[in-house]
Amino acid sequence: MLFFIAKRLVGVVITLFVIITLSFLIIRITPGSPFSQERDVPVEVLEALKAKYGFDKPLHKQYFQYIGNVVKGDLGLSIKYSNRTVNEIIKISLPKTMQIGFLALIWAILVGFVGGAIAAVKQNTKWDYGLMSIAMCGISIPPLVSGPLLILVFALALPWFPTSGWGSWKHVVLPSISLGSVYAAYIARLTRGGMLEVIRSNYIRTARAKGLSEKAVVVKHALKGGILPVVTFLGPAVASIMVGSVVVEKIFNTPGMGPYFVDAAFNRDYFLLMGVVIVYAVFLLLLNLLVDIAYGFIDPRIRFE
Amino acid sequence: MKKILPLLLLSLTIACTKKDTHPDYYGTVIPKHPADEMWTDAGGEPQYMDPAQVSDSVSQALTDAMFVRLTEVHPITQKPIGDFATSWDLSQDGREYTFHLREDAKWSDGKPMTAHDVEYSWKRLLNPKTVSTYSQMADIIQNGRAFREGSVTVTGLKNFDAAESKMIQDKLPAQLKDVEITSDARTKNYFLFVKDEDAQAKKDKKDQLIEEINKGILGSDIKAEPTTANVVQVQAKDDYTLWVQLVSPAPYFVGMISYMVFAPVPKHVIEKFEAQGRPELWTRAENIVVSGAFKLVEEEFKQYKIYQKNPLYFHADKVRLNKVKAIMIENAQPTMNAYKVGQHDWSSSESYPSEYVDEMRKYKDTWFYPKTAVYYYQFNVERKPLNDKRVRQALSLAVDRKSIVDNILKLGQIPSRDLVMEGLGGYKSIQSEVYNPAKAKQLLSEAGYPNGKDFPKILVKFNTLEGHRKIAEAVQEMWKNNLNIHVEITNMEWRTLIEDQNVHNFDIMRMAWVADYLDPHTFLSVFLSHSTNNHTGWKNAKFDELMDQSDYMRDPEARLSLFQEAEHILADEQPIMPIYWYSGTKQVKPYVKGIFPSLQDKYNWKYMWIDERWYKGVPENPDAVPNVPWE
Repeated sequence: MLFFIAKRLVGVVITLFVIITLSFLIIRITPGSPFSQERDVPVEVLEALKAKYGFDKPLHKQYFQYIGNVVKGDLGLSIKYSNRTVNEIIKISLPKTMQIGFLALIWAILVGFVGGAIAAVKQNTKWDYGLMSIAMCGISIPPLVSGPLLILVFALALPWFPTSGWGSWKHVVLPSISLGSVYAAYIARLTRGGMLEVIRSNYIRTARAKGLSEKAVVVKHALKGGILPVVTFLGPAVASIMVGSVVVEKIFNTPGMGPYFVDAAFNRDYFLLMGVVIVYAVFLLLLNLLVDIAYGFIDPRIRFE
Repeated sequence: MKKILPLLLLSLTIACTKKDTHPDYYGTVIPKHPADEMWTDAGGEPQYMDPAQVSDSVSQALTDAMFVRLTEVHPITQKPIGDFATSWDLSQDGREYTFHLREDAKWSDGKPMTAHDVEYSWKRLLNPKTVSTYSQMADIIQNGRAFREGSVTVTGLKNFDAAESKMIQDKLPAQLKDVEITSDARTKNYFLFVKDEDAQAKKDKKDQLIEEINKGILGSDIKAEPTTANVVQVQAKDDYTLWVQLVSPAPYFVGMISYMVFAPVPKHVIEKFEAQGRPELWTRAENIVVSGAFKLVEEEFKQYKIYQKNPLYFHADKVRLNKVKAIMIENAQPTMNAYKVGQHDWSSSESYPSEYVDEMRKYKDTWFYPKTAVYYYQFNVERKPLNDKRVRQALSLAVDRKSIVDNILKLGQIPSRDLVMEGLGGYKSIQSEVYNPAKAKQLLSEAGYPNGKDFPKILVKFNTLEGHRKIAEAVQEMWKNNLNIHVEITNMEWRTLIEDQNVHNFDIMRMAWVADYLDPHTFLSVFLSHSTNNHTGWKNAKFDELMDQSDYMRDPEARLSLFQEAEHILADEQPIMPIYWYSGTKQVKPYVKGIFPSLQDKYNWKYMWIDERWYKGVPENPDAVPNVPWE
């Protein structure tokens, strides 16, 4: 197993390198400059700005320098926020995003898993139809809609939560629910599907034939089978949930990392954009690795090769 | 659910009938903070906190109360008045200003603030290393441009006339002959501006030029060196007297230096951080040293900034607030929600989504006010058929601007075909005819496109924003209906659009210009032939000449009529097609006093205070407390 992990880690590093290289190129060949504005920027100032960020050097030199810095853990200077480094901005914003993400995840797993399990066990009853209809709504109502609705009811009409911003546990609740609900819906459907498949399988029939109680059959055997597709889904889902949602963080004006995926691109804040891409990529790659490892524990049929 | 629903409805009813609201105002009217505090929305995290670099409204709003300038714009009259400078004298020729500065001014760390700080700050503004995108504003200071553009200073010559300039040009080696030569007899310097598109080639040429001259090609005692800040004609005569010589009399100068980039900055602090290799860190809350009414004391990136009253500010006794909290909200919808529940007392320019404008009109705490900014379409006059002025006139006259303002924008913008707004620095607008489809049709026919026949395919570009799209669609339809021509419209991402503008890759492009100072010069000078902000390709010698004359005209009335004359040329030639003059809208809680509508959207916290009567709800006579600034 250690060999498996080591082999995969090498893969992770190579993939990361490819991602960084491609992103670097795509970002740099995009037309438009981080320094452009309505008012013409004086040539000398433009030169000074380019020199400050190292853009006066040939692109390949900039690339190698950047790779060198990334290896050292230095993600460069932000261009838009002129007195901050990218490391600093990520250090400030990522934990906030992760707080929302973590709560959203708990909400999603709790609601999704319980809902899906009930629906599967009570297949084709009004419980099943009811829960799956709600899940369908959950999938179809994106945070773009659920966010403002939550604000309207729980921040404006009922002043229980702040409308936006950051600072207390209250600020985290609405964004987390808004973000988590879509995932909850997916998880519910996946759990239901996974469990139904298992419930019809031979070993469940054997378990029932052996006279095990229905509770034991569901909790000990069916649930475990139901988890598998959810785990597959959770890898990338956790990664994207943890680096933040552009929409949710904009609606709730959360000082997290999500909005940078869009804003840094619009601002041509090259290093900040690269920074958030790298963080996302690392999350995604490591979580996928974790998922693969988890498979081995959940499903004995899967072997580490 | 059956039990929860009535409870929910009940709470909703209670929430809506709570006492801290009033039908005349949007949301709560009772302050949520102590009476010596104010909460404002900043519109987002600023790009810069260094005054010299300020170029956007957010950075401007968050630095305004921290750094005094020599003059300020009076919040009500909107005319320049003294601030750090108490008075100033003007020389006979109108080019030399002597500013007398306050003697009681101190930096927030206790060090006296003097004329030397101003000298340092203005020279620093011109230094390209400061990376101020507004540094060109200081070109008006004698020899400012020579320093800013990195020219070569030549000393040892005597006459400073055309013949001598020609002599220099003649003696330069062939590959260096295209230098621009200027001189300043007072400092006995010539300035040679080397030109080259490529930065490295330019540097090489400059080095070569210095080497050649020092070898003696102009004469044995004639020397050359890179231009330093020393030649810039701004000088501290003593601690409290600042002398400055301008290129031309430029009567707008006193108003212009109220702009943030001209704020004195603390040399002793900046140099300390420069020595550490991270100059930008001096603006952090833990490091910053200020001169104004408030000092940044705490900041949470993208959340808020907290400012405390600066007890060493020279008008500290008049400042009534002790603390200001600026909240960073980036989008209109969260801004509006936060305002409603009292998370901030007044909002930045983007107060609420535009579709709420009819709703907001009902409330007394929504402001509508004129702004000194113009929305226009610029024509690329180097391209057919827009090189024909009749086509440009026709396109411009065929746009029903009033309909655009009334039906799309609805904020009380002023439809106009002119660039300079009525009343700006005393200006009387030339009031060109705004809409005349019949004449437009005739002009187009004269240009060879009767009833739009064979009109070439042209494209209107604008940056991606719903409002711009609506206007472009309206214009497209008006041109179709009035001129029977079809133009394409396309939206582009902002920085890509700017890129296209810079290389003149457009037929027609949407743009806007905001006044930097309250004088017609701020708008008209954009369209000078040599202006780097003129992207239309339009050049007019008569226009340039009139603008040049205005720089030297001392009589205010005559100067304004020169501007009018220049604008008549612009209106006739129509290299741009103004559509409307902007108006602003924002929300301000009724308990905030000392805040006034501003043409340039600038609001200094130092005048503001909280009317305590509102803590008990809407007072009997809300306007009994007069809303006036101190002094």
